[in-house]
Amino acid sequence: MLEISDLHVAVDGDPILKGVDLSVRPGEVHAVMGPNGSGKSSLCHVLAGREGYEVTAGGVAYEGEDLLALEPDDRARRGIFLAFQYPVEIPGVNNAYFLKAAVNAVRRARGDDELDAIDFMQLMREKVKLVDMDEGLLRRPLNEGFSGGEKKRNEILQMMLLDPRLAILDETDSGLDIDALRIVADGVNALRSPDRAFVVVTHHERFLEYVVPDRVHVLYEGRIARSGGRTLARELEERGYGHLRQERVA
Amino acid sequence: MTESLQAAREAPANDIESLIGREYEQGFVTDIESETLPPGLDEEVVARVSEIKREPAFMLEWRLDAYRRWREMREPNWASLAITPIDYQAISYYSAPKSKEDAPKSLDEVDPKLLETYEKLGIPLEERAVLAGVAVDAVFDSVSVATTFKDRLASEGIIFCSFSEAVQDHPELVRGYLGSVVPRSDNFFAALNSAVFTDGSFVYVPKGVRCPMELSTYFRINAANTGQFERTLIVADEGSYVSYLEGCTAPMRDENQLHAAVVELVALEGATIKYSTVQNWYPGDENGVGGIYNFVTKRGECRGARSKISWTQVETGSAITWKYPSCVLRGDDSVGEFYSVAVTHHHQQADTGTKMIHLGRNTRSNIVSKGISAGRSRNAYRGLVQVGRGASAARNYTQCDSLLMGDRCAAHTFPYMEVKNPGARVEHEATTSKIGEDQLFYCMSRGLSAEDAVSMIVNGFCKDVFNELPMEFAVEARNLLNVSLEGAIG
Amino acid sequence: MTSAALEHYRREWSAAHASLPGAGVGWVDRVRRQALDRFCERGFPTPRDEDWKYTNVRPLERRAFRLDSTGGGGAAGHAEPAVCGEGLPGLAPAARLVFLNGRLVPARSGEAGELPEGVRVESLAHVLASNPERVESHLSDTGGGDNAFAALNHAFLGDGAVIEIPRGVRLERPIELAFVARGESDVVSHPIVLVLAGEEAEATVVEHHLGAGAGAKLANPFTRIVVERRASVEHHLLLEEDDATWHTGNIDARVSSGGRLGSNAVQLGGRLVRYGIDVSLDGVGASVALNGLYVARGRQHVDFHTRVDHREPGGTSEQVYKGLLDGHGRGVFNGRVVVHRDAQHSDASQSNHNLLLSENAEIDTKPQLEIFADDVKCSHGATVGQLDERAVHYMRSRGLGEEAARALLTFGFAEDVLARMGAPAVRRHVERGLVGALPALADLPAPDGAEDLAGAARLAAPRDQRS
Repeated sequence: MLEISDLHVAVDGDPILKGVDLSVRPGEVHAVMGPNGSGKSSLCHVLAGREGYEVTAGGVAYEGEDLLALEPDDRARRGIFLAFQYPVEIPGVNNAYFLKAAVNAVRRARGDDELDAIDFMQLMREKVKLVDMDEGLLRRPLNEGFSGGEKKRNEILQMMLLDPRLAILDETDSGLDIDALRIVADGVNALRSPDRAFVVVTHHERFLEYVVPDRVHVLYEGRIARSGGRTLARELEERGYGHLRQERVA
Repeated sequence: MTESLQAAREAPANDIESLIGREYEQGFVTDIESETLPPGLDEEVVARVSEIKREPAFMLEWRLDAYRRWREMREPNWASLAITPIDYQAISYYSAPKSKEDAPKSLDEVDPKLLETYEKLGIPLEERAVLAGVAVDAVFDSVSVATTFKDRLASEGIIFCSFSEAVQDHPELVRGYLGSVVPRSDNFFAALNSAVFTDGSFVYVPKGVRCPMELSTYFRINAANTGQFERTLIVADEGSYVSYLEGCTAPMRDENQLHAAVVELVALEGATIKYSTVQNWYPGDENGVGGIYNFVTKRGECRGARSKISWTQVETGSAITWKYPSCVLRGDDSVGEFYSVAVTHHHQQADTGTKMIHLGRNTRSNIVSKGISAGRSRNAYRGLVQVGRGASAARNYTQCDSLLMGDRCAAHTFPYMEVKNPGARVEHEATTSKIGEDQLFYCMSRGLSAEDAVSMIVNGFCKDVFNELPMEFAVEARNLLNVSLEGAIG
Repeated sequence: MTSAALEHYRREWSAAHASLPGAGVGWVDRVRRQALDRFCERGFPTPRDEDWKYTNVRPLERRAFRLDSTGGGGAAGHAEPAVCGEGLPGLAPAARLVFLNGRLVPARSGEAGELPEGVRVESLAHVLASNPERVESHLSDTGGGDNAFAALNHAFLGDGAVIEIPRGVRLERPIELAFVARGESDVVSHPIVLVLAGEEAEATVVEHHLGAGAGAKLANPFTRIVVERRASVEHHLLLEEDDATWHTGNIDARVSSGGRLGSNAVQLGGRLVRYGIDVSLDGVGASVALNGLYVARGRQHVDFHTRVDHREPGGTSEQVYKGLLDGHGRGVFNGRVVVHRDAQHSDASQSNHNLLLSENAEIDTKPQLEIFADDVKCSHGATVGQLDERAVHYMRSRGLGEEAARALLTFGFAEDVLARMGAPAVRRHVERGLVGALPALADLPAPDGAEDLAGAARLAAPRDQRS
């Protein structure tokens, strides 16, 4: 589904990713861990198509196509979803209206009928309950004045409504208390299915106790330094990232 | 308010009288013989000034033209200032310390009393100049008395001399650039200056040269009933760099004295000019008697692509300040900056700010203004950001903060934004505050006296601007600020 | 030039004043004459006046505007709905007064059922004819400053609306005033609106200015709002005149202790619009919220000058003005906040944000703070710029196309201030107007975007709030 090969990315001329390889198949959950500044968020932004990230070498194939050639909205319509680490606050744009516009844009691209206001609200109500979000937030401007936890729930709500094929979660767990963490994890788990894949970027092993990954990768100084199973995350929790440097030197 | 805090706040208040009683430290008069023209202004006086300066014909023409235009103009009245009318015929337009027939060739030839004056002012004219690595041109009333480090600079091809010398020795440069940024008829005070300016500094930095030291001028008004009309012209040729410092003082006198200077900066392609001012003209006494009227036109033009002009000013003196150091951003990718601290106390009035005129593409400007008002003073920021049709992707950010100390002072903010390009981004933010009781309490609970706490908070308020000053100047500015505001909190 | 224009208005006045409503009432005659003198002394403002630096009224001065000579609002044919409009859809006002070229159209005006006791909604002409002393104290001056157009308005004062809400009465439904300018050619109107809210009274007034017909018109209204202690007034100004209408309006409001004023202004139409909005917070703890949206396109010139005076301690003013500038449109915003010496603990905030949507649009903005008290919280901010690129990306990453994302953000830019205004019917009307007016909104998701939005917002409300 997703093939990242030898991906090199620079920001303002500074190399950030220096040869990332990653292969994700439908149904899989991949966790990407790594210390601050290792390039985790950059990897997410490149996949979502944010400007300012220059791909200097390598490439990304998504369902056999060159992902990097697609505009951000095309990617979304083809089923890629990025849950932002810092969702943007947009004054004046009603949350529910935005969600409906986005859902219908994606549905249109897929050849599905657009939802009218009534159907959409019904769908939304259902999903809102799943993420235990205050319905009042739907009437407010998009993310404006939302707490950190509310923004993250709103991201998960969007993910549920847009029904992606590949969901990328950029530290969605950070800054959440234990209850919110569980709700976010439940949301992800509810969407797990054989034809959907996840890339979960996280700092904390704890999140992976709720969202159990098939593979764990460690991004270190712009490369995947190690890959392994569920136990790798636990090992990192105990030993930290410091030993990776020694391994590399050795 | 808690009792202890109340007591603490009253403590400095009790000292106010003694602190206010403290004299303006630079307020002495130097007793030396001067050659002064009688008060009054007409074409003859203009011609006489030009004659004393032995100027070439083009300068006389230029002055007379400026004078004729000035006569047709009126004083500007849009500033937020209450000004006692100025009698331009009661001012003497030329005053020079009488020295030997010829201008001094070196410091040894300068009147020792004059040198003493500069010593009292704490100006690094000689030894301190060497220590600080500052090249100094000192302007006393109307004439430039000495320029240090001339030889060292000459070896790099840098010209740094009095304006009078530049007219004699480099007339082609003067003719090419004089009035090219601030035209003769730009405004009332600039026209007056153009007609009667007597001296000032001239700097030319050749292509690709990075000026190895800070260049510095000190201005002092000494004689009674004189105005000071100096003119500074700095030209930075392609790819060069220069940092220029300017300081000002004047004796205490009961009557108001006029200072109407013009500063022109020209930065050619890739050049950078950094211009720093610490202005400490006599502000008048605590009843608002006397003090300098400071009506100054300062403007720089980023004429070439990727050039940069940065103004930094610390304004603590003068009874009235009317001053808007500006940047015309003509070259593509050029940058203008303005960093200002303006302090007013007692009856001082300041209307100061900047103009950023964006003409070239991708031009950027940054404005940081900190106004501190105390006593019965008035302190206004007035700034214009203009983006022309062709200035695509222009960027401006303005931050403008006022601090009020006491309930009889005033702080005003008048930003003008005129934008004609849809690709421009212009942002202005302003806040007004006073020193918070919680801030004071916090500092004092850590053992600081109320006065030290205030000083620390005020310095923190101004930090963004002080950071832009060269080191020696930053220290001076900080001290000046403390002196200016002594007794302001209560 | 100037003297010729002044001479014209002097002649007009001489010919008209004796037949204006209230003529022969001593104070009315006096106020008119003094106002005319003030106007003639002052003359038309020029760009040399700091307050008129960006707005040139020369073209207006060149025309000889005359009062409507066709007999005013009662004349035959004027009662046609096509001329006077049907009122704002969904507003459901408690009373509605319609004016044509400044004179009441009785056939289109009226009350929907009984008004609460003591509430009066009448035409000024009627009050001047029946009981002029009721309004004397409110018409004897034109507020601060040397405002030429307010003086000109008072020189010709005659008709308009008088709205009185007595002490303690809460008027649930809004009062709608529609001012229709219909130009055969060069017709001028000088209507007056008085909103007098007694202690603890509450009211909402919608003042809607429309234009019809191709002839040149000048609308020169004056609105005075008096908010007594702990009263609350929401005033909505909606400017939708045609491209042949100049509009030079003024609002002068005074708010007493604990009172609250909401001043909401939306401009969508007009050739040249200059509005002066002055609010004086006269009592302890008085507050005002000023919201504004202006949309200049084509060759429109729009200028809002607001002024808030904090005169007593503890006042609050919160101001948000936004502008969308398209085509050759030019916008001017000048917001002035003055905190007077005794107004300690004032809290004043002011913001002005502008989007330039075309190469030839222009904005001149000048927020001003003048502070004479030290224990205050004051801030202002102004921006001119484009849409937030991060927001564009965020929307695109959710599947919206770039044009749709930009349209939605542009709409959101306006919506942000509309949402502060309350009055859902006004808001929906403006939303529809915006979508029709700006090409930048052509790609708004769902063609009925505005309605849809409001619909979604309503549907999203919990059940118990829906009924």
